[in-house]
Amino acid sequence: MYRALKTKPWISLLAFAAPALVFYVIFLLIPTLGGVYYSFTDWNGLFRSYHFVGFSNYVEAFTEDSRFIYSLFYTLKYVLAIVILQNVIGLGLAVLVESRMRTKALFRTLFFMPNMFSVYISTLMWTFIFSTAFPQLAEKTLLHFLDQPWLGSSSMAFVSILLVSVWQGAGYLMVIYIAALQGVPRDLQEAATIDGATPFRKFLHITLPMIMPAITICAFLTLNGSFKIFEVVYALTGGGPGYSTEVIAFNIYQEGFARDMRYGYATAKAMILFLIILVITVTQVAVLKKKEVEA
Amino acid sequence: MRKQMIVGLVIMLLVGIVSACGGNNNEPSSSGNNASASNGAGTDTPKKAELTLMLTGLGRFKEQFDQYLKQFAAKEKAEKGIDVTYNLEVPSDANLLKTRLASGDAPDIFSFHAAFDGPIFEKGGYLPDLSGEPFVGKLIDTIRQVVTINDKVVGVPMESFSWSYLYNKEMFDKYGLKVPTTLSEMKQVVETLKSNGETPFMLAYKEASFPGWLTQLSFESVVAKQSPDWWDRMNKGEASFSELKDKGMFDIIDLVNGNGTKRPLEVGADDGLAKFANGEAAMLITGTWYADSILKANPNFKLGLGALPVNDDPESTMVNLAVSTTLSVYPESPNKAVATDFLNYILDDKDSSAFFDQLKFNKVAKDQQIETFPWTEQGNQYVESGHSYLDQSIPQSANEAIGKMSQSYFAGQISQDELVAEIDKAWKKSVQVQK
Amino acid sequence: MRKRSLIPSSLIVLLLIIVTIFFMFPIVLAVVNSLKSQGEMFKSVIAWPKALQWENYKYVLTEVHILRSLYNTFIITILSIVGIIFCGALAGYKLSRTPGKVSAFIFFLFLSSMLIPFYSIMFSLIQVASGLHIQGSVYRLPLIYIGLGVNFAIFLYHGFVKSIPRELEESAQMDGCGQLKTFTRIIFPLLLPITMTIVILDILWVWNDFMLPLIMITDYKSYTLVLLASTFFSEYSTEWSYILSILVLTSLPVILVYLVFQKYIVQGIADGAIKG
Repeated sequence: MYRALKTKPWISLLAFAAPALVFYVIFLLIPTLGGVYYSFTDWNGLFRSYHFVGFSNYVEAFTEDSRFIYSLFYTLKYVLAIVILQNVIGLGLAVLVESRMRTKALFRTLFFMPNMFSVYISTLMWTFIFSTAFPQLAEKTLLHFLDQPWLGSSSMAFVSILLVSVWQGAGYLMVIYIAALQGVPRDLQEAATIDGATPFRKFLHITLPMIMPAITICAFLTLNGSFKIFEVVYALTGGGPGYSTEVIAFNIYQEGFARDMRYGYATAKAMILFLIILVITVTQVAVLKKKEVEA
Repeated sequence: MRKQMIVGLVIMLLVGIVSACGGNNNEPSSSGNNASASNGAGTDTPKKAELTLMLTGLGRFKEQFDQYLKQFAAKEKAEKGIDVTYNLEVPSDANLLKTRLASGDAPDIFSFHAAFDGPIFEKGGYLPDLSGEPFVGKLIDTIRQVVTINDKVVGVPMESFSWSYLYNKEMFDKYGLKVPTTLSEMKQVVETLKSNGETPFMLAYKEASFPGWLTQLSFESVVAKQSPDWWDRMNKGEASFSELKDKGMFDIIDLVNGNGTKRPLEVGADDGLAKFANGEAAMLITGTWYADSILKANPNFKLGLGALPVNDDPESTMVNLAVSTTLSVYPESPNKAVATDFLNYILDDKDSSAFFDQLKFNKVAKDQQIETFPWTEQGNQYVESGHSYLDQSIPQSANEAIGKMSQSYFAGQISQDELVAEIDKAWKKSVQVQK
Repeated sequence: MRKRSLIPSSLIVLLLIIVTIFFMFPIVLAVVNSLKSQGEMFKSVIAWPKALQWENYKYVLTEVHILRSLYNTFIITILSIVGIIFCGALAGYKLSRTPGKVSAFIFFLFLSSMLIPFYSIMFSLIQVASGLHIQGSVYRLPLIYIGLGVNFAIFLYHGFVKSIPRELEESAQMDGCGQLKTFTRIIFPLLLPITMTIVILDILWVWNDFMLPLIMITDYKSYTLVLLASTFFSEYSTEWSYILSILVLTSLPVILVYLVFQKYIVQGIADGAIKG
């Protein structure tokens, strides 16, 4: 009896976790460990043999590969811009939608809709807008400000990439922020109103601290997601003009599948990306969690 | 509301389970095909073969290939009693083939670019030695050379052309212009066009390949005439683009870039072709593979082909003789024999001419009877008078760098020296990696 | 009722209009222009089509096997999600209920893997997939999705199970239910809200995924909708009336689902984030 009780949780734990573990081990753990291993080799997708090369892939990425370094900083710039823009706009939309109860459902539906499309599909839609619709509107209507080299200059291409990302992603954050705003107790707000607080001060001192957990989550989501941006660049600019809009994921993809198919080297770069994401997201969550506690 | 959700979920799960079962039932049929293919190799007399074909970027010819494969299946059945079925894939992304070669899940027959992919595929062991096959004897000599790597014929060339730039014949005639044979003459042409309010060059630089072609043609012509050993030295890591820069490879590039249509970085390929077809500029640096698209945009267009001059030596004014689409067999394919039969059938004495006609490809075999287009004629004249060089292999990442850096150079983001240094670097790395 | 809001109400209306235009105009322009001829489109992208050009759609439907791709995408999504729910619920429940180091370690294993970017495993995953002959198979591709998606499901289930009182399953076991029976009869129905959330998040992920099909599906018969649109785009590059038609067609299922189930979708996303 005693024995049975002791072994049973073990067996049942394994039995219940086994299906998940099998898939996890085969398709995530082994490829991850394989990735770590291959990142130390000169494995080339096209040749069958490979050699162990130690840290030389990592060294090369930081010392010789100026385009990789560029893509690192370019991605950081993008991440910074998108985390701020996406969250400010997402929260702004949530406040906007929440402030008119009668039309709330309608506008939430509309603003969230872009998020339902595949990123790739919506980027193609925007390619049409940038390449055909905007130039024509600039020429034939009063919207002359649309006359921009949307994809033709590196600075405007950055703006275009941001535009598509915000269009696609802001609705998602809006939904989370709406849920968070609904969690702010009404009586707190009313009490503040009676005390004569202005709406802005109320927002700053009551609402914002109350929705801090949502901000942490949304910042985490955008941070984690925007580091991996690929489809928008792949479909919108192809990394161009020149190499000017090459983000890390695109750089890795090109290194592995185009160019010389250097799987090993591309994997090493992907590991660097992993480490960066790890450090930054862990720091971010830690910092914002601390803020939550303080608030 | 809860109830709705539960009902919805149950339905979904049910559908899921049902289709999962359906899936399992269907599965053997798809894997069964693979199995029969590989079993076929094991047995002595294969009576059945399922060929898998991956023809990258040939989506527009899917019907023609479908038709030809059906003809082939009938022939194989009649002559050898083998039941041939096939699975034709025409992805647009060239990387897919490489991925599948790399993973060992290779198609029996695949297409590749002879000069660009050939050497690296050969090194990886993905190309067979077809030198003894009947089709080899039928090939035009120059074309056979392009598909010969390390003295082995590695595939059947299909799409071949000589190319440099295309021009609007009507516009040239209107202003009494002749196809220039030197850089000075080209400058004259440009001046005349400009003084008549025409734009000399159509620039469609949104895709890096277009500015890349200009740079490629320019440096290859410089090399072909002035330092033919440059390729060898470059692949040994002993040469540099800076030599070519000193020999004036940027002269024609700057002339073209300086006299083109506006805001080219926003003009994509099809856009540019349509504009060129409608007379918005007199010349377009690209190959005849776009002839079809141009004529589609304007059926009355009079298309001409010229060789881009790089300096004042008319002998340096040459076209590039290239074979792009080449078909080959995976050496370890279980269906190698049948697949090789198909390669031979591509140059079949009876059926091949009609096939090539449908594809609008130029002839690759001596005996093919194919309608030739005026621009093909012009290209052939350059080749026959010795004004051509064979397409050479440029390492993949160097090739990419040529396109992208030419884009940046046009945009004024980098100098000539930076362009040279960047391409040198990419080339060197490729050579080193592929050792 | 509300006397003072954050922004004056006329400004709110104005802002709502502007934002609506921003979010809707690409979709509206895509739909409207998919019903025009190429020539009409070049004349004006904003004008209403003179005559609706259903030919664009007819052409696209004859050129590509959109129904086959719809079926493929549907199968991949359904199988992936059934697998993720099955594996995730079992493991998430048990890991949450079992104290001890082993359980904590396994949970940590799943949890920590959530940060791994796909690109880090992409190349060796290709090796694994080709070893198992997964490439190109609609019925086997879901195996990868289960492997990649189960960690998040476990994470959500793990948290949710804590809110279910233990007494329920204890009394069920008293009644002689085996562990598995207890789970299927008692626990799983209680997990329904979080299951719904996972289903929604994973449908959005798998249905719209581009990268995995791009590198795994080599056979055009197995193309998913997104992959189909991508090949179509690279073949037709600027024949926008066709491309827009295919974009509309490929998006139609998700939009329909969205309009019907939006309440649950929005709820699911909010729950997924807040419980996560």
